[in-house]
Amino acid sequence: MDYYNLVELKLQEAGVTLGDYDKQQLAEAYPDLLRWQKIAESLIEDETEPALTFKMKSGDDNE
Amino acid sequence: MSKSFEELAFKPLWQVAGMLEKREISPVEVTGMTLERISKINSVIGAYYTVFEKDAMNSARQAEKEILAGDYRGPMHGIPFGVKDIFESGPTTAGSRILKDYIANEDCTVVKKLKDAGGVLLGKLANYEFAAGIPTLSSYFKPTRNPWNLEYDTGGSSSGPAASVAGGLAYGSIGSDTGGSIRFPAFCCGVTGLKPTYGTVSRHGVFPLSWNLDHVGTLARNVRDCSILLQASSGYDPLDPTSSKHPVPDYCAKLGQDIKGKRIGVPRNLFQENCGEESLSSFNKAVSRMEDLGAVVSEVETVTFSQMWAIFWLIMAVDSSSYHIKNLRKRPEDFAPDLRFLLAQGLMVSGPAYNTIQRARRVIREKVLSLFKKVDLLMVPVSGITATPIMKEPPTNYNPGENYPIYSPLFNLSGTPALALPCGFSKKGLPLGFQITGKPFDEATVLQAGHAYEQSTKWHEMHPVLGG
Repeated sequence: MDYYNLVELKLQEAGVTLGDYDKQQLAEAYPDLLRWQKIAESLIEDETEPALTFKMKSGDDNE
Repeated sequence: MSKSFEELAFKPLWQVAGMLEKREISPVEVTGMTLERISKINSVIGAYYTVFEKDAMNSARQAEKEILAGDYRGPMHGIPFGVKDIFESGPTTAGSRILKDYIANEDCTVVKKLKDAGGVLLGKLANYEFAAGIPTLSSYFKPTRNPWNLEYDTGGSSSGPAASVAGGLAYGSIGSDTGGSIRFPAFCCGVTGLKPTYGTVSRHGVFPLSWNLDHVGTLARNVRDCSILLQASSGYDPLDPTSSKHPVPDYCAKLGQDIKGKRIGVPRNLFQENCGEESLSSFNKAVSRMEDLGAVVSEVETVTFSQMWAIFWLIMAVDSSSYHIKNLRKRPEDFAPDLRFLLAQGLMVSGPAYNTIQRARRVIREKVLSLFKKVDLLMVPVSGITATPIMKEPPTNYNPGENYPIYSPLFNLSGTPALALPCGFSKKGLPLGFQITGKPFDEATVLQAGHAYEQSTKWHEMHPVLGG
């Protein structure tokens, strides 16, 4: 599915109607959005739940 | 306008406060002069949407009566100030066609506090639409003009708060800051802007942009004035669920103390890739000045610009989308195109993704806070570029991406206090500045360092020449 269709679907789901130019802009910016979400994922790479659990068990969080 | 009038208009708030306390001048004279200046200059720069001429004069008369009766309340007593138009108090438009006829039933907490301190509210100051949408000459609410060059934008979103202070149309103002909306216009207009620690000043009665990142703070022409405004504005407010119960310290306590031995970290990895030459050069001179003043400067490492921008933008997009969803469904065409884009972009982010983004935000916050084990303060430029020319029409590309070199959002993500100060001018005569941040609730040290720098320069004493 291309980004334009994805944008249309998501707007529809939210009950928002926008013009074609706006949707094009959102579609063009979609790769940025995905890239930023990947950055967010990479920032929490060391913060997975098992690691947090281990930290809590070993008392590291109380340092 | 006479020379003495002009001198009074640009006097520091703290000096006028001293004159009022000693009864060398009356609140009625100061307010009357400021209103007269507004009547002559506001049509040129457009700092105020609404001027409360009658109410301001009534407040000034009341203040005069109290001061003459020996009931002096403190340094805000009789001081004319302005407030950004996303703060509820009378007509409150948020710079949006959507709220063009909205009148608030009561004052927001920060306005109440400043009035209780004896401050004289002059009016409601212009801002970017809902603190985000950039105004252009084709907007419903026209852009505020930069007092240093009328063809240039003031920066935003607290455009009116910065321009009013720079132009001598208020002694101080209240703004909000989600990613730099106090510090960037302060930078563009050559004034001082303080975003305190998250939760320090109540957001009750303030239109939100992002619950997670919004901070209320102060703009003025120097550090001491910002401190005085913050003192009168801060404190726990049960009406704001994010308000902090941290005790309010004396923000002026350390002003005048030297900074010998203070450890200042400079995280160049944040800004070295996209900071413009002029901004970087003035920043480096400011760092050298701090060293001259006795600070111990070292390089530290923090998150990259891309990491900061990604998390900041995504949180702002989702939060603002959530707040404005009803109007986005009903009347999307009434939002500025770039704001409409931001709001719609927030709808593209899934729930699990937003959870990940919030966890990443916590990681960023912890990374910033961990630096305070090694240093007392951090110094970074506010922006890599100066103010830009006012746009006639909205940009054809609504997505700024990472092409906007602004470094202030890091301290919205960390929630730490951040002070923007002027530190020079570009070749085109536009102001430049830098920011200092410190530990949460350690505004006093941030202000101490800012004050030490400021007092070693003349930048804060310079002001634009405006007609009238």
